[in-house]
Amino acid sequence: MLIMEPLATATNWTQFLEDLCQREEHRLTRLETEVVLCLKEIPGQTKSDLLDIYIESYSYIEEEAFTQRLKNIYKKFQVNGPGQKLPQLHKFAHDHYHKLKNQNGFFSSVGLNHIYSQFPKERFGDAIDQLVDGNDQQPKEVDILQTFAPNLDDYARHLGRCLDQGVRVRILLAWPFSEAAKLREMVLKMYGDGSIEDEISIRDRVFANLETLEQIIKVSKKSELMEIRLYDTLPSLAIYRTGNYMLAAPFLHGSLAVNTFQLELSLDSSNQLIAHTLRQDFELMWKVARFFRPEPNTNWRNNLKILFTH
Amino acid sequence: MARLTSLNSLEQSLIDRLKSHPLMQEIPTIPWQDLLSILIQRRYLSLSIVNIYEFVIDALIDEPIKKTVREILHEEYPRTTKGVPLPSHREHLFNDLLHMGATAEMILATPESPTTRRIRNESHQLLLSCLKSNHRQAGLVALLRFWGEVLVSVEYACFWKRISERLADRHTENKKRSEFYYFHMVHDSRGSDVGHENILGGLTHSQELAIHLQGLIQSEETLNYCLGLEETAFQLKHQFYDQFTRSIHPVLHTRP
Repeated sequence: MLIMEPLATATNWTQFLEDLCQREEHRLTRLETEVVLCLKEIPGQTKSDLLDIYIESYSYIEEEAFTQRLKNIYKKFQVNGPGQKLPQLHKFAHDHYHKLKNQNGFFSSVGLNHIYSQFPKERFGDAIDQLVDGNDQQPKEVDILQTFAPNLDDYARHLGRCLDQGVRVRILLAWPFSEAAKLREMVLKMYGDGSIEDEISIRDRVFANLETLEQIIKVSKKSELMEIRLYDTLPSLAIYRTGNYMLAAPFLHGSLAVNTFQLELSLDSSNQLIAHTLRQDFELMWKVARFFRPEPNTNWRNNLKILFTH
Repeated sequence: MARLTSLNSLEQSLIDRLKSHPLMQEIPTIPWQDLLSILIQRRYLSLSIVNIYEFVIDALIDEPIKKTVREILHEEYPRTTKGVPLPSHREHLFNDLLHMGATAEMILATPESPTTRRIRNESHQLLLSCLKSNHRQAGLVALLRFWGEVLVSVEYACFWKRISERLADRHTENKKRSEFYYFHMVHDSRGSDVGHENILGGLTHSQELAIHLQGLIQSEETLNYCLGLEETAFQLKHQFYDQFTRSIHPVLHTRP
């Protein structure tokens, strides 16, 4: 599930070297990788130093064989400048490592913690539980912005717990009769990968979500903490937020938002570029969307039909 | 665009004329029992709407238009997404009448008047006549929209002035909510001039059909055919309400 883009995720020198050797364009053998792993982060190693570390860490090797292995490594890393090659290899590794560290520092400062290849079902459930059970200073709120939430039923229990424990829940979904919802449905059918999207009916799926929410409202003693609003526009990101934890994913042409990459974000990051922008957009949508409540034991489908027509 | 201007202009004038019908003018003062009798006769036209929609679906060729008509028809019989049937719009109509003071026997045993039957049959004949026309698709959509949606909403808006004395448009302590008249008044309504539908916000049934209609009116001949159908549809509605205004006591004429 985790996207392993090696140079974007390594956290220390050794892990970085390991990832570097595994990259498609270098393809080092295991024995060659062992040599590279003997490089120290601090520059100035001689070939003799490197050999000593190798023998100590792995096994005895003749100097000539070691030199040959190094030559192969230089070739694979395209270290071919004039003069001694070992310092060049070191510089090559160091330059990449520092670039990565700078990148990671930036990602962390804007709150980007992780990228998942699809919606991390258990991770979000755990994050809700943590918000409900924790005593930290996170805002006691859960927000979901979706066209329809295909995974809403997975969190019915969690959302029920939220209400019982005084956590405010806000759900933003597409108004199922909107032209925007029809357009999204058409796009999924036209450009989807030929699986679920072919048969999708956004109207039915939003109705199913509302039926789930109706059940949650029905059994909760604090259902007023659950607010639902419906929109008639086309948001570009799906958002699942609990306290300061957020998952955001784009609405692509070819797939449901839950089936594409998910940005895992911390909203209390030092740089608020992403967090502030996404929260602001959510609040804007919340403001322009229309209040709707699938009140149990009423003909709420009647209200739904005319939500935007009067 | 000029064609749509003619269409919009005619529609507005027909709507104004229906609102000016003597019976519509009398609605504020009609005794409740008479009002209920009118609505019970009007129910026969509502019951016929399903057959009208089914007919149009079969008679249409264009699949996207069929889809729209089908979706509107299916709203009459809502289900949960698990397939459990919910009260139909017909049941909502029956219950609204009960909640306004009609008895089940009044609703079920009052016969359809000869005029109501004639109007229902002639409406069906008008629809059948579209099949022989070169402008069949446009005619079917224009008639369905104007007869089955636009004017229906106008009629219910006129009646709502009295219905709202006994039924509410929302859940309240004192009055039952109207589940049929109020919601049809809103979601059937003309909403906007043809050609001025907004992509944001909701489309009423009339507007959903209007979007198809404007694509079908591609010539003066087609436009004139549709104008003629809408004029006739208006006349039928007018005649339906005429039956209640032939005596001082409006609905006596319809009583068996």
